[in-house]
Amino acid sequence: MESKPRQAPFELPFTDWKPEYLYSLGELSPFFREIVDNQRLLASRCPGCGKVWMPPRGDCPDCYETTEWVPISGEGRVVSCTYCYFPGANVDLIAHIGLPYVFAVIELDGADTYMFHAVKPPSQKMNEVRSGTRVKPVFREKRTGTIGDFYFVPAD
Amino acid sequence: MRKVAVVGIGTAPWQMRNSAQSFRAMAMEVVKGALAHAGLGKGDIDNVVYSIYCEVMMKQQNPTILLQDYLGFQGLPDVRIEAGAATEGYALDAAYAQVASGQSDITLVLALQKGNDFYDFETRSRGDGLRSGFAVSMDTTWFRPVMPGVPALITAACLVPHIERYGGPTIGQLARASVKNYENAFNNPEAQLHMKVTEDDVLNSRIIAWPTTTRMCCLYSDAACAMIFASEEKAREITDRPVWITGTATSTHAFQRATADNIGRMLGTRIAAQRAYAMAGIRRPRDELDLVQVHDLITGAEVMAYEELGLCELGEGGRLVDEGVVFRDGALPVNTDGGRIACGHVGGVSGAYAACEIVRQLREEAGDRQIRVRTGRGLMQCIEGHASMTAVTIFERG
Ligand SMILES: [Zn+2]
Repeated sequence: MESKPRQAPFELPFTDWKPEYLYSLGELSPFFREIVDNQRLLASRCPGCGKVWMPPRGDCPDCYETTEWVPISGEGRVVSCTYCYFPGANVDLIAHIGLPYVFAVIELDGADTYMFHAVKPPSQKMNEVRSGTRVKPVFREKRTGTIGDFYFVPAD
Repeated sequence: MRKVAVVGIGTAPWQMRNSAQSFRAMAMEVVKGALAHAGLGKGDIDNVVYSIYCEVMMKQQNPTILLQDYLGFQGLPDVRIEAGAATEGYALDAAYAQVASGQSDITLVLALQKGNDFYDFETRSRGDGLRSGFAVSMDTTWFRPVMPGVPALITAACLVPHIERYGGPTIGQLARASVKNYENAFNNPEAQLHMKVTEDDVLNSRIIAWPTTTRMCCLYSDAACAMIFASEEKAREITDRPVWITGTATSTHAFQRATADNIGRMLGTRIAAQRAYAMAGIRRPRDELDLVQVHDLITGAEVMAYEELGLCELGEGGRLVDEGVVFRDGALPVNTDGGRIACGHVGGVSGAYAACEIVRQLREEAGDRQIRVRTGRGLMQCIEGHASMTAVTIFERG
């Protein structure tokens, strides 16, 4: 390392602290276990008001009732989307599907709330995916228990 | 409740990276500046509110006790506020409440954040380090695995449906709003970027997340600034130019329960603004304010803020740009310091700096970028990423 004048700021590489976690998904465990084991999506339904929450929640924020798991097909409709051209550092899913990818607001069939997720445009061209496009999930070979275990593609 | 005034501000130049000062020295510089501006000594402060967004970025948990010690405030009460990129506005709200309630007579608000010490040794990139580190700011269960830590993308989830629903802003209007902020920064010696940027430059810069290009995105910075709040009695002793806080409010927007009713909206901003206006007795904000400082995380967020703040109807924000209303010489200048796009941004500080800019303008201390003061009122709005949290503060000179 070249020597620097005394008054130049001294910069310390600080690499001995890399937080790693064994993170519990708690009440959401059935949702992620279903993805890993069976490549299927579950939603959560409130027995009080009947709303189907996606992303799922263990408790209904409106009624404070404990929700129940219900299967959904995973197919849905793009409500709105943007094409992203920027690489995400250490976002494994984006490395897998490539750029540009579509970051979309998706209305899944049977759900009352929208979900934000990634859509892979078939030939990475603009406007292949747009508002109204029907989409379906594709589950990845390697699944670890995150929502990055799947992504969406146009359904037809 | 007692009236509360800003009696002093301390700012420093925005830098991408300040390696010449530790966060402690950055704090000292702006605290000294604010005390000097107010004509006060350290011993006059009886309470400290810290606006510090992210400890992980600073490589230091519990930074406030280190700062209390470094600044010689041992024995004084302090509290730290954290609310993402809206931290500053929430901190101003808390400081206001402590002085208004009588709990404190003179409160120091210290806004501080080192944002660019992250480093990725594998790719030898500061940006990669930042984006990995920043990622835990997002919902780590439902967002982090499907998107990179890029503000343009987070806010695009609001901007694109907004454009689809209300027909605006157009890409040209977004580019012109960016150019406005670059021009304003040119007259702010403390701005991080002094750069001539044309509409074509904005449109031809790299697309980050359509329709947002690089030159429609905020900078990232190491920054600090300080403000001193005083009760009415103290304020009148300290200065003959107090700037009163006449309205303050925070609000949140449902983030994960996106539905047709709220998609493409910044409802937290709408609600916070309505509350702050009611508190300040403002009915027609566009006519009753002299300047507005909004959170231009991306230009789209700035233009949507015009609408949610009630400066115009939904979908009409772009017209305020086309008609020149929001330019420095227009009827209602916005982001006269250059905003986050050209002056600088880091969570915890940029909104406080925006508040300092309002104080400076209302006291007519803004030098080459001084606006014409008519009503003596200014508004600061800051948001967290997707506008899920908003703070609005209204200032009025005495
Ligand atoms: Zn319910």
